[in-house]
Amino acid sequence: MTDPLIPFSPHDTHASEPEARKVMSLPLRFRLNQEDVEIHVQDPTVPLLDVLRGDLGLTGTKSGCAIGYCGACTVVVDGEAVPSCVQMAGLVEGRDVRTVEGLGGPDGLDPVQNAFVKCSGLQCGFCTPGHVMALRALLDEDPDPGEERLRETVDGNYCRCTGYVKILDSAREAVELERAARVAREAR
Amino acid sequence: MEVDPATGAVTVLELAAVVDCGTVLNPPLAEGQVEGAIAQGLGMALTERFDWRDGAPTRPNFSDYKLPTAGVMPQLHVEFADSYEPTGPFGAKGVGEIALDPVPSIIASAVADAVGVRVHELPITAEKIYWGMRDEDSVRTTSDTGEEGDGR
Repeated sequence: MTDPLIPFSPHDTHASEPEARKVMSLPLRFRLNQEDVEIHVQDPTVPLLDVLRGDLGLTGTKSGCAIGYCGACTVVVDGEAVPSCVQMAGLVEGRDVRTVEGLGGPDGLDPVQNAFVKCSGLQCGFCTPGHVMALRALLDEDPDPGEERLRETVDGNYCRCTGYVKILDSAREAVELERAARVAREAR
Repeated sequence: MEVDPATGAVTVLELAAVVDCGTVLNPPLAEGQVEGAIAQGLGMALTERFDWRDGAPTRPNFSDYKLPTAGVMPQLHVEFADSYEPTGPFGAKGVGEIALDPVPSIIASAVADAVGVRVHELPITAEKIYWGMRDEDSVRTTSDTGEEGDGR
């Protein structure tokens, strides 16, 4: 019952066949952790989270509630912390995405990550990538946020284990470590 | 802790926990366990209502099932008793849940102390306190429980 003039219909039972997938796949180009990536997605409305974890294998970003409440899936898009579970993948075309995998490098961990290690700011670790990315975005925007803004930022991410006390300690420590790292960079 | 007399909304300002978990093997993690337990206890006490219909939870997402966030956490004070448990490893006992269970009861008592409303069912929502403050029958005043209330 397929119309030969229409090679593909979304209701076609063969839609999931590799042939049809090739017809549907759309190129998606964006910058991911300082590298240009180009992938093909079947549906540009899928969440960025699924593209990161499924297509690109970056499983550091976690899926918590998948409806934008818990913050476990937070990534940084053009300097702004966004929940990747409600960010359409198609909308990051040409934009700059940073995930927890992009932090740190050969010289060691990112100051925010070091702060979490130093202050025991994690227990099960599931919410940690989200907290780290949210704080990373905050510190990139404002290297010296007051207590109020730190609390506001941590407030956006759920944590079931820590009671937030040590996460807030980590946030304050991150500000200090970031400042020390900046001073060290400038001295070099 | 404060209760808004107009709405019944509870704000927990400060909370202290002293825990006997035997010998503390890893102080920062033990503190974290207690702080996390208090956060879960606050959720259980104030906002997390879990019920179900036809075998399915009626509040299946975080918009209806409110967890405590960093913004509602009170200032916490955590101390450990100097103790040794001979049957435990290196004198330790469990630490995970022990700080969780007392939280709903201390919140209930604090609410009773503050506004004279003894809520007997969790969670102790603003709505229950509000109606408790207005319905004479459901209110067990502080004089009934022998508690002195000063609104705080």
